Amino acid sequence: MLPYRPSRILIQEQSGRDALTGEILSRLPGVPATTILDAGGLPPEILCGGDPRGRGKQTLVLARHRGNFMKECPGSGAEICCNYYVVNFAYNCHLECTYCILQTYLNSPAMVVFTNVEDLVREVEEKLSAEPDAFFRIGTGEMADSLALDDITCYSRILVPFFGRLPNGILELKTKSDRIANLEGLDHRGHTVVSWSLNPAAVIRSDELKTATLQERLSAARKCQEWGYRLGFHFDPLIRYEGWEGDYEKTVGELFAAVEPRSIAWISLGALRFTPHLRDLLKERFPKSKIPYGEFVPGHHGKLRYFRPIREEMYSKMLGWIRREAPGVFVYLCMESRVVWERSFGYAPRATSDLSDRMDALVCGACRGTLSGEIPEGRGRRLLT
Amino acid sequence: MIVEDVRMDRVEFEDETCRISEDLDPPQLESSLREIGQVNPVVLVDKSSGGLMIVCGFRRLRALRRLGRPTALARILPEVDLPLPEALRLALWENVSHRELSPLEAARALFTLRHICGLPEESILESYMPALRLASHPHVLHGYLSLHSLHPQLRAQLNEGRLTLATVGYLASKPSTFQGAFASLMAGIRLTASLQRQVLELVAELAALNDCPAEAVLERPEVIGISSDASLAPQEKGQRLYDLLYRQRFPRISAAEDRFVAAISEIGLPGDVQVRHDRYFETPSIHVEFQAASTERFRVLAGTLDNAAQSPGLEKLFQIG
Repeated sequence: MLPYRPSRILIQEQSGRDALTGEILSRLPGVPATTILDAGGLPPEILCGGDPRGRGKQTLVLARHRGNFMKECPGSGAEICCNYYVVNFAYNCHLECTYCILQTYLNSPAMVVFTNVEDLVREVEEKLSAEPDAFFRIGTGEMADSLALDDITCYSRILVPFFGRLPNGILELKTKSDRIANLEGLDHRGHTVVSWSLNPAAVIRSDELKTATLQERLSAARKCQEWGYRLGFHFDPLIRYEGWEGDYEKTVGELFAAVEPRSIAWISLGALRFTPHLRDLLKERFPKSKIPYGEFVPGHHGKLRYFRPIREEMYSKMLGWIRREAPGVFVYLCMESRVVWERSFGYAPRATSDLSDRMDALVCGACRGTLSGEIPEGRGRRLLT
Repeated sequence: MIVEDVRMDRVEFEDETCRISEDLDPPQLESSLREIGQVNPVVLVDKSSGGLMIVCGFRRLRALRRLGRPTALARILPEVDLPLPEALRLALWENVSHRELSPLEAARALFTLRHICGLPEESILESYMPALRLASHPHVLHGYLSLHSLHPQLRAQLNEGRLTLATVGYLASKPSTFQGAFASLMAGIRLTASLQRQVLELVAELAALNDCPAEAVLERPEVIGISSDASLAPQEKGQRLYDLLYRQRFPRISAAEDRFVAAISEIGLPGDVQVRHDRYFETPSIHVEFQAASTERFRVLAGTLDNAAQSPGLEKLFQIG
């Protein structure tokens, strides 16, 4: 994986008072830093010239987050959804996946890290304690890669022990990196799932340009397994191309050669989806990518996705390959309809709550060994007993 | 202003630096000159290197020459009083004062200003784009500049109204080999404005999918076959071309559509019972609709639906894909 080193740092005035800001600056010696009044008022040159989305990432903005850190996952509008929550500790990602939605979603092309981590922690604590009977799966990988900047931010060293103390929540760190050094020795108490987005080596080479290789990701996963973390894997986005079947089958084999099935909390499958705007941008920024030329049709929220029979074929084959290696591992579909579940897996959750409860139970079960007597009387608990 | 008779053999017809007009030989102008003679003088520059360069009046001078007139009424300015950018500015304003320039004429003028006169983009955007009633935006300017080097056959097809400005604007950014191949294909095919856009998109995507130049898609035997099918009208060829490219680009969706049509045919519903699938088959649901103008017709149609419900082919309707 290509490490991130910005060419300059812009510090929002208030952010300059946060401890995390000083720590980040100390880890980036020699990078010029300037104080700015407002993170929204970025220098206009960021947006000028060729490929502002690529060049903008050379600027790291340290800012305070305003508003709520914690939100429902945008997938919650789908017919069957896993009831996930996201916490945004940063915006943007330097890993340059060609299909990344952040290219069109974010207003600013700069990398932004929020330094008011105490506010984040306080907000999560308040929300979870306000609903002690509910169980929360919370991820930090929606607007940024959870770990790609961790050697600079060391956010994991704050969040992992914090979630370890929470009785009714688990943290999912979702990444395409191999930046796991900070996770060693943390008191996670089974409350952190470390997840990797996986794709075949060929896709990583062609469309996940600055990410860790497949072997680097799997080696990192194996280490996390040794450190007692539960693991998650997301074959998302699944990408169809000539020879995809052999490549994905091989990737599944490599996954289970690297880690124990019993360490895996869940595996998700999600076929590529993107907005028409992103598809156009992808063609422009990455003209060699073949991704835009699949058989896409407009679907949920106007996003393009593969023609349904293609998705079903991909899901059912992936499930078969996973089941062959690890019959008991929990596999779910992300943002798919009941019809697609039934046709791909042969069954469908009765409702969103079914899927959500099942997933809560998977991680609650993991917590039980380390947090005896502290499992919440929530949905997960009911399913476990 | 001094107007004089100038000998035609002193005029440099081949120097088209200040030319604006796309069509240099409109037949009605020749008729007019024949009937009433030259009313307005042309404007010429007396070049320091010798010879008279045409600034305004290309079409009048050419018509007069065809009519065999030995002289023309002209206002002649020394080059020092009317350097090239000023000459072009004069030609431009003289034209826009009484007519709207076509896109190719605007492209020609902008190209000359930028690349012959060497004016900076900022100056063109500020002073000339508004005169041409064009948006003063670099993207618009660049689009018109590329239009100037368009394949001659495409220029003709744009002028004939067979291709839209958006289409030729897109083609202008493509290699000349592709421009030529598309122009040749379009010689016998008609596409509506929306089909032009869709066909070009399909061609580009098929080329990207197959790692081949876009012209190779147009040179496929099946494409040539449509183009050369004498039994088809140009509009039919256009629709066939689109259908062919769509099928090649979206084989699974096309095959599903075919199976759906075949399944409907198998259950034997009359034409006035409409059966539609869910959008892009995203769910297996079908929508059935019929209209009956009488009780008797309602009973007949309901009967055909009842028969269809017993047909072994019915299952297929719900298993597309």
